[in-house]
This record gives sequence, structure tokens and C-alpha cells, in this order.
Amino acid sequence: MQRLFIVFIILVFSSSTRAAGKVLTLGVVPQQSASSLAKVWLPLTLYLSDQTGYQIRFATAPNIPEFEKRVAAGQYDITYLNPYHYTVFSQSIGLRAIARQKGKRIHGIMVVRKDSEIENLSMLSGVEIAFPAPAAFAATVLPQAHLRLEGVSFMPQYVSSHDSVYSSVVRGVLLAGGGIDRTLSTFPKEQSEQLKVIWRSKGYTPHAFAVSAELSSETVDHIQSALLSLNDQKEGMEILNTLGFKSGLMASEDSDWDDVRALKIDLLK
Amino acid sequence: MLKIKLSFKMKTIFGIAIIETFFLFILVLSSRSILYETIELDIKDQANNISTLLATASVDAVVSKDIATLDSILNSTITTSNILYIRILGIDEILAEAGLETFLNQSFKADNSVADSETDGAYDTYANIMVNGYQFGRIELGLSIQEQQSIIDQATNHLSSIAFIEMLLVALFSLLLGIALTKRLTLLQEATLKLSQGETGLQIPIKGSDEVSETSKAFNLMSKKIGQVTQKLKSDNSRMDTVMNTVTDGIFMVSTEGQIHSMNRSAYQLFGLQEDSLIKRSIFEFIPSFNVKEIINSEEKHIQQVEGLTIKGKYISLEIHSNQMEFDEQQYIVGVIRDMTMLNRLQYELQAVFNLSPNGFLILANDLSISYVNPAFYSMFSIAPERCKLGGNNWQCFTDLIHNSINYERHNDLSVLDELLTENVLYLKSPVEKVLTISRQKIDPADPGSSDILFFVDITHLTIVDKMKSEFLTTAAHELRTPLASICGFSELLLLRDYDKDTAHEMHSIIHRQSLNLKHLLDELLDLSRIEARSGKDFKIQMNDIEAVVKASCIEVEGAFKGRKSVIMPSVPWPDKLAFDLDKIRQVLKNLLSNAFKYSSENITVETGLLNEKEQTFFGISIIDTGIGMTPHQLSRLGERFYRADDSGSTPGTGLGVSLVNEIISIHGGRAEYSSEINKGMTATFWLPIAGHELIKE
Repeated sequence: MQRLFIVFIILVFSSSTRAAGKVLTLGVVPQQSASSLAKVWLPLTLYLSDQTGYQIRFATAPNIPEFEKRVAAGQYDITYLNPYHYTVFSQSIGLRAIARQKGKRIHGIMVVRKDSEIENLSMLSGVEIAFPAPAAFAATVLPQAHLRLEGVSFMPQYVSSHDSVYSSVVRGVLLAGGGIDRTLSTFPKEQSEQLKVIWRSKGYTPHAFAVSAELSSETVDHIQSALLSLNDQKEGMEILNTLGFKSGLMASEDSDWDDVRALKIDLLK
Repeated sequence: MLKIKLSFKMKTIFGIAIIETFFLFILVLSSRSILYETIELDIKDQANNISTLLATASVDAVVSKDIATLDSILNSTITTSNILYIRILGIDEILAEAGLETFLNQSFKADNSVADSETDGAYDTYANIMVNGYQFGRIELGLSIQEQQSIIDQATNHLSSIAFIEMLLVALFSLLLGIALTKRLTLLQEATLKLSQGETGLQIPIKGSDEVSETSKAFNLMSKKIGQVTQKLKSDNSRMDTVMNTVTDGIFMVSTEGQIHSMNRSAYQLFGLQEDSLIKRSIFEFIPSFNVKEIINSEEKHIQQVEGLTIKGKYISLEIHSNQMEFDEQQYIVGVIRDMTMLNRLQYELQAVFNLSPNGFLILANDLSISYVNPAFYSMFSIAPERCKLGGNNWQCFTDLIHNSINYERHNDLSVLDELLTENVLYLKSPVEKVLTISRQKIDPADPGSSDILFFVDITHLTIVDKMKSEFLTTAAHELRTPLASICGFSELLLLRDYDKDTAHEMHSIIHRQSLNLKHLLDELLDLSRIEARSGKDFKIQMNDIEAVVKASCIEVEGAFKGRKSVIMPSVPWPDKLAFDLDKIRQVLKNLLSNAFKYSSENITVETGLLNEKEQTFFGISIIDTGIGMTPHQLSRLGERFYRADDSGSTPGTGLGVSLVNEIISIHGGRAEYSSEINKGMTATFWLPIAGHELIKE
């Protein structure tokens, strides 16, 4: 009975992947709660499995630090991670970027309550500012880098997620918070209307789909072509829409993230 | 198969106990089952809720493999409830687990029911951790069912105890009720048994007013009724027995196999049996040819004429009227036996009388059918018996045949029918002339509808005798008148005038001679009538010397016929002695010798002879003359009284001599014979039996 059950479980798990081939893990940066993240990423995972013939599993981490640890430990074969993380891990464990959102540039924003008197970064000196996590690129790294560049001293409060950031600001727990346009637009409207953006960074190369250095180039090619094939199909575009990649994907290479490297962020060292 | 005899009481107790046990068992089982189901539902709900709650709570931690969070969830959950263990699984690996080692070390197997969990005391269940239909892991947990089990056990124990006590109480009550009931039922049973053994008038005491009392009352009523009915039956039976045993006909009842069921006194006495010896005997022992099959097959009353056999081996003639009947759903044959022996004998005797009677009998029914005719009737009318059948429409047949025999010269214009049906005299012409008288009478004078018996008596002989008597008287008167006329005439002449001596002498001689003739005639007539009337009773038959008698007679008769001789020429020797009446044989010889002398002119011869006839020897004496002889017609009339061949009167004689001879010889057991030829002579012979001792009167 017990054996039978195990076999059953295996069958259930393998049914989503047509070929019971190599198991590859797709690690996604925890920008939202794990379940929400899983919901939006599962279609892509299944699509990739279908296209490549590999058994690709969705994975994430409870939080950014843990994610970083897991990436550093080489737990993911394919990793979707922010530009800053990419620059770090491409260097440390040799992740190689293969794709990113087409035509997308990443912007960081700083929000305050609409009724707040704060109107620019310089007014944030000495203020407790909400950030999702230390390594959150657009919402944390970019604003902090610019705050430092402008010489504004502040007190970061990491509240785990973008939504937490917006909630904290709306409720007035914290005066300002780092975020991005996309998450703000998906935040409940009655709350987001109470917020205003006081700063928006320039555009940077967005999140990267990167593969482990240990994968063969053949496997990498398979994965990359599968990813890029999303652009060519209606079904693929729907999947991308779910993920918010409305413009589709494009092939990328390591040098595309040099603009990020130019910020010389050194958070994880 | 083993059969256990149980009293009503025990049956009640066992019956109630079985029903009680059965239903209480069902009650306990169903209560336990309901409780079990409730508890099971509760456990399932609880396990489901916990696992679903855990799955929901830990979904993020599982997806992100947040072990610390999972650990903390587990630890906080496990301490607050009766959860024995919780395990959180990822896709490939155990993410977190907590609880008792023993359960954690076991491999997980989900339970479908509480019963499955009874082996380890834990209800194992799981909940999958799903995101958008994609499984990221699952929660496995085991709930302790110890508490529920102890509730069930406790409830079962409670129910069982209550059931047991209830059973005990019911058993006790049934026992008491049984005792109370059966006590009175036993009384009823005993009374019923006595009733069945024939005791009547039994009454049971009535107590209370329950069903048993009602039954007892009904029994008492029934017992009383049975008593009355039995009494009536007894008196009816005794009356019936008296009737049965008084009737003279035998009545019997047998089974269809012939087994005797009962017989009345007349029946068993008929066979010489005793009443107590009838049992188990078969009717065929006494009536071997009794045909049971025919009785069964015939729908109506069946009559058999059979022969019965008495116990002493005597055969009796029986008539049995029998019928098949049903008693007590069994087929019997009931019959009436009539002893026909006496009746049959009477019938045979009557038949013999009718058969032997010289008179004719004829039985004529009202519808003019002739049912019986005796042999004498057939011979009277010279009818062959086969010409007309008896019974049925046979009147015409018989009357046609009778018609042929009737002498219609004597019956002018009389129909045969009228003659037969009227008491009358009937004259027949063929086969011989006959005169019959007819008498008619009802067989049963009291019943006008009964048949007539016609009685025919032949009176022909009487008529002839009557005629002969008249003729004899006429002849005798004539014969007596002839000498009397001479006597009267001559005596008258002598009285009228005086005649000379010679003439007067002549006339006196004639008167004397005629007187002698008259005397002789009367003597012979008297002799004849005396002999006839007495039939030889005054004959003195003794051993006499016939030779001496013949010789003396010859000499005596010769004297009357002077110059004539009778020559004795014996051709056989004279017997020493012969039995005869001396005087009568002398008369015979005198008559025959005088006739021979009278009607011849020569000497006559006397011869002797012997004749053997019918084992008897006769000695014969023949008197032979050579006279005028007789014509055959005259010879045939010889012996008739007053008949004289020569009726001229020239030869004296009475015409009675030969009659007298014939009569005397006949009485001696002998015979007289006459032969003659006209003008050549006559031979008269009389034969006397030699061994005539029987006629000798000592």
C-alpha cells in the first residue's frame, strides 16, 4: 500500500512533465508571497518542461537573504533574479544570463503618503524608509544607491515585500518606502490612491533569466530557445502576460547588465 | 436429529431470551455503530480540519521551503491538540516533522476509517499542498483515537450491562409468568386428557378473568356439552343396537378389503359365530364368492345371490343387498343378508309339486303375459315347451296353440279367451279327446292386482266311468226285465184260467227256469260287484291241488251236458300245489267250461302250459272248443258286462261270466286270454302265478 502510494505520488508529480528526464530547478526571486509567486510562475515552468523535455520545478525562498544563500549554494539550475543579484552571482558562481524582458528597463520608485510633505529624496534624511528586502534591486538597491549617491542618511526598515512597503506607508507606520511601478499598480487601488511617487530612477537592464555554469551549453540552448519561443506563440504570450512580460522576452548576454555593475553596489560583500 | 422436549414454560423463556438477545444485540451493535460513526465523523472532521488548516497555513513556507516557519507551525500545533505526529513533505523530501518517534518512524498510510486506525491507535490522514492545481507537497498527520475508543468501549460496556440486566429481568418475569400460566394450563391439559379417555362431566375451577380463565370456561362448557352428547349417543346407540339385533335380516358392514367392521346378531348367528369372534375376520371366510368389486363399481344398490359357509362348514344360500357407503372418510360396504335356504327349498318343493301334478297350471299376469306353465299343461294341450317363451307378451302364442286343440263342435261361438277366463269345462279334440275343467284364482286373494293362477283338471276318465255306469244300468235293467217278463206273463196266464196238467206244468217249468236265470244273474252281478268292491280282500288264497280242482270241475260241468266230455290233455305236468282261492277258481273253471260246452257240440279239450314273463312263471289252463267261435269284433268286446255274442236268447247266459273270470284271475295276479276264429272254436286260457306266495293268507 505504501509503495503503491509512492508510485501514485510520483505519477502525479511527473504527469505535468511529459518527459521524465533531467530535473532542473527554476529558482525565482521572492518578490511576493511564495504561493502568489508560484501561481504566476507555474505556467512558465510547465511550458518550459513541455518544450525542453526536462523536468523543470518551480522554487523560491522565504525571503531574499535565504534566496541569496540558495543561489550562492548553487541550488537552482535556472534562476530568475534581479540585476544586482545577477551581477553578484555571475561573478561569484558564474551564472550566465540567457534572456530578459524585451524592451524593459527597470525603474525604482520612492513613495510617500499623498498627504506627506516629502517631495524628493533629499527630504528623507534621517527618515525610516521601508524596503522590501536588502537585495530587492529596483525597490531597495536602486533607491538606496541613489540615496547614498545624494548623501542622504536614512534608516532602512525591511518589511519583506513590496505590498508590505506600500501598506506600511499607507498606514503611516513608515514615512516612505521603496518600490516599483508594476507592484504599485497591482496594489489595491483604494490604498494606492493614498500614495504618491516622489522619485523614479533611470532605467536599468531588468531581471535576468540566468543558468548555472554547470549546465551544458546544449541544455542552455534548449532552455534559451524555449524561453524565446514564448514570443512566437499566442499561448506563450499569455504566459508572459501573466508574468507581466507584456513585451515578450529577448536573448541576453552578461554585458547587458554592465549598467548595473556601473552602480558599484557592494551590498553582499 | 436430536429432539429436545421442552415444556411450554421453558419454550417461552427460551423464546423470549432468544428474541431479547437478538434485538438487544442489534440494539447494542447499532448504538455502538451510531456512536462509532459519530465519533468517526468527528475524528475525520477534526483530522481534515487540522490537515487542511495546516496545508493552507504552510503553503507559502512549503513553496519557499521555509523550514524554520514550518518547524514553528508544527511545534505550536502539536502541543495544543491530540495530534500524535505531523509531517510536512515537499516534492521530494520531508520538510518538517514533529511528534512521537514511534509514529514518525512508521511509514505513512492514510486511514479511510477509524477502524483502520485501531491497529496503531492513530487516525492517519493527509492534505495536499496545492497551488493552482500544482502540488508542492503535503501534510501527513496522525490523531490519537484513544479517547474516542475509550468512549466507545465505555458506552458498549454500559449498553451491554443494561441489556444483560434487562434480559435477566425479562427471563425472571417470563419464568414467573410461565409458572403461573402453565399451572392452570396443566390443569386444563389433565382435564382434556381425562376427557379424551372418556370421562365426562369434568369441570375446572375458574380463577380470575384472563384468557386462561376464558379458555377454562370454554372447556367447562365443552365438557358439559360433550357429556350431554355422549349420553344421547349412548342411548341412541343402545336403541340402534336393539333395532339391529331384533331385525331378522342380517346386517353387516365391511371394509372395501372385506375386513368385518360390524355385524348384527342375525348376521353372525347365521354363520354360527359369536359376537366377540368377529374382530379381524374377513367376510370372504363366510361368503367366499362375495363380489366386492362389483359393489364398488355399481352406483346403485347391488344384489348378489351367493353361497355362504357357516363355521360348521354348512352351505347356505344367501341373497345380499349391498351398497357402498362412506363413514369417517373411509369407504365401507354395508349389506343386508337374507337366508334363502328355506325359501329356495319351498320353491323347489313347489316346483316339484307343479311338475308332478297331473293337473295343468298356468300363471297369468294382468297384462295377459304368461309367466309360468307346468309340464302337465304342456302335455294336456300337446304344446312343445319351446314353442312359446315364458314372460313378456306371449298370450297370443299360447292361445293360438290351445285353439288347435279345442273341439269346436262342443264350443259354439265361444272364444278361447272367454273359455279360459271363465270357470268352465273345456273340450279338446286333439291329440285325444279330453274334457278339462278350468278354475281360476288370484295368487294373493287380498291383492286384486296380483296374477291369476289357472288350474286345469283332466276329467275325461270320470266322464267315461259315468257313461259306463249309465250304460251298465240300462243293460242290467234290460237283462233283468227279460226273465221277469216270462215269469210275469206265464204266472198271469195261470192266474187267469185253469190249464190242463201238462200245459200248466210246462208253464210252471218256464216260470221256474226263468226265476233260476234271474237268480243266477243277480248272483253273478252280486259276485262281480262284491269282488270289485272288495278287491279280493275276502279271497281265501291257499295252497291247493289244481289238478284235482280241474278234474272235479270237468266232471261237474259234464253232468249238465249229457253225452259230452272234457278231455284233459296236460302238455306240462301239473304242479303239486298252487296258491289260489278254491271256490273262486272253481267258479272260473265252471264259467269257462260251461261256455265251451254251450257254444260247441263236440267234446272239449283242457290243456296245461307254462309261461315265463317278467321273471315270473305262470301256470296256464286252456279250455279249447271247436264251436261257433267269435268274430274279431265280438272278441274285442268279450269281457264287457252283459255283452253276449249271441244275443238271440237261445243260449242261456248272463253276459257277466267272462267279466267275473277276468276279475278273479286279475286278483290272483294272473291273466286271462281269449283267442277265437269264427266257426272254428275258441280257446280261453287263464294263467296263475306259480310263486304266488305273497297272496297266500296264512
